[in-house]
Amino acid sequence: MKRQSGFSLIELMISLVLGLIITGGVIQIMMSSRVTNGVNQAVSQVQESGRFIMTRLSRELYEVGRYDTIATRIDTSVDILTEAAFIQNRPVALAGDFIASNTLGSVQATAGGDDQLVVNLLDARDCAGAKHGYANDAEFHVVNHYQVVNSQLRCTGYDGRILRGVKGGGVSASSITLMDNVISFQVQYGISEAAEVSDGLAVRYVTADELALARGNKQQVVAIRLGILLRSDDSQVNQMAEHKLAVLNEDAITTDKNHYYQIFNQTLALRNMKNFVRSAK
Amino acid sequence: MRNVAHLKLQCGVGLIEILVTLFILAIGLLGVASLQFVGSFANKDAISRTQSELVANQVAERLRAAASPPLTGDGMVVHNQYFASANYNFTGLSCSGDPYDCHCLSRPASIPDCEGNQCSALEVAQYDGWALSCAAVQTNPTIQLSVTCTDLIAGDANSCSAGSMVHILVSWPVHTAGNQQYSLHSRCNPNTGDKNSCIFKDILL
Repeated sequence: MKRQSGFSLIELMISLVLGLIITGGVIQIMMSSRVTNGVNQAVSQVQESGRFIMTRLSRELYEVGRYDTIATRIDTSVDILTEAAFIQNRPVALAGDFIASNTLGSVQATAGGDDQLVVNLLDARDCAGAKHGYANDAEFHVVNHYQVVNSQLRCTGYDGRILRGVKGGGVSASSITLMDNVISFQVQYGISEAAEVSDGLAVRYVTADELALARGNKQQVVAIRLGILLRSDDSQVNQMAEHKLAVLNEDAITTDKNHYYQIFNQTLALRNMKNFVRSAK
Repeated sequence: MRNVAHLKLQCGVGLIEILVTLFILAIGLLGVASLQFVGSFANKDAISRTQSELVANQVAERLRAAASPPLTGDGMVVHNQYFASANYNFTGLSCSGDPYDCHCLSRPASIPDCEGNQCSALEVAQYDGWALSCAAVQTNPTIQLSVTCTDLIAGDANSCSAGSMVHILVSWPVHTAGNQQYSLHSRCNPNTGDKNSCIFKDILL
């Protein structure tokens, strides 16, 4: 009978070392999988958010300046002719437009801050889904106010009739948060030539602080440009390359290593406004 | 005796066997590692595709913003410069490095200032071409933009007469690596030897 023998110490140590190498390789792959997974999640989350917010804002803002007296059932408790004129001539509201809330209006923030956008339209619900007491299918003057508060893009909807002072009651607002992780929200307005000569083309992109002057010159807003900079949640990624990004007209900002950043731009042609401007020629 | 015979057959794993095992395992691990590369390439492609989709959408919307009723025919027309390839992809602007860093952090001097001044339709077309190209190269510097038209009425003043089909093409080169294969669409690859992925939209204004 052959004498039995187990591993010698040397053999055992060699196999341990080899085992360690293999385990090390497996752990390396796991670690890099984890990093890749974090990046993938951050990227897909930001892209999904961007696609959602752009779709949502586009759908709402396409209707800006809409006043349809033929095909829709408008609540006629106020004079709808003056209301139509108000909405069609002021698709984008500025401070001073509303008697009941003198400061409500679109704002161009200074030094790269987040802009605010206030729009007028005819709709059955405001951006938060509120009816403000009107019948279920009745449409009314909706005022939507988009602004960023604590990195959240919020929309506040108002009953424009109360704001204009043609309907009694206190100003009722309904708010909804549309998007988290908004680092920058910038808006520019494409204005037409003076209404008497314009074909409805945007000839200049201005900021909200120049709109009052444009309005004085009978230059209407026919397009809205949005730029939204989104970033990923905290602690998903930690080794992203730093680079510079510029949102619309603002100065470039530098991204950090711990978030994935992406800008989403959209230019919206305001169909109602283009037709309105053309019809005034 | 049966026990003794059994014991004689026993022996441990030799060093050679361990080395062979290690070799085979290493091949397996390499396979897993290459999966990572395939995954990140696919992911990069997905980012480019999403971005291009948004950009193509934006091109369509810009064209609609710039559209005006024509003198003849039904539909809308935009300025001819929207179909000039020189207005896209930073043609004529020199840059060594990332095109976004070169041209998009601030407006280059040769692009008309349609924010500070009122622009003509031609200038708006050049300005839009630049802004759209910037949107395209934000995540992938190799993305190329092209806007063309199948003109219904050749020879008139409009390079895209009313009612003509406008083609928006956003393309980017892809690299075939390992088991990452692309089916190359002929519209993305007009020249033989091209290897581009793309998305395209055909719209009527």
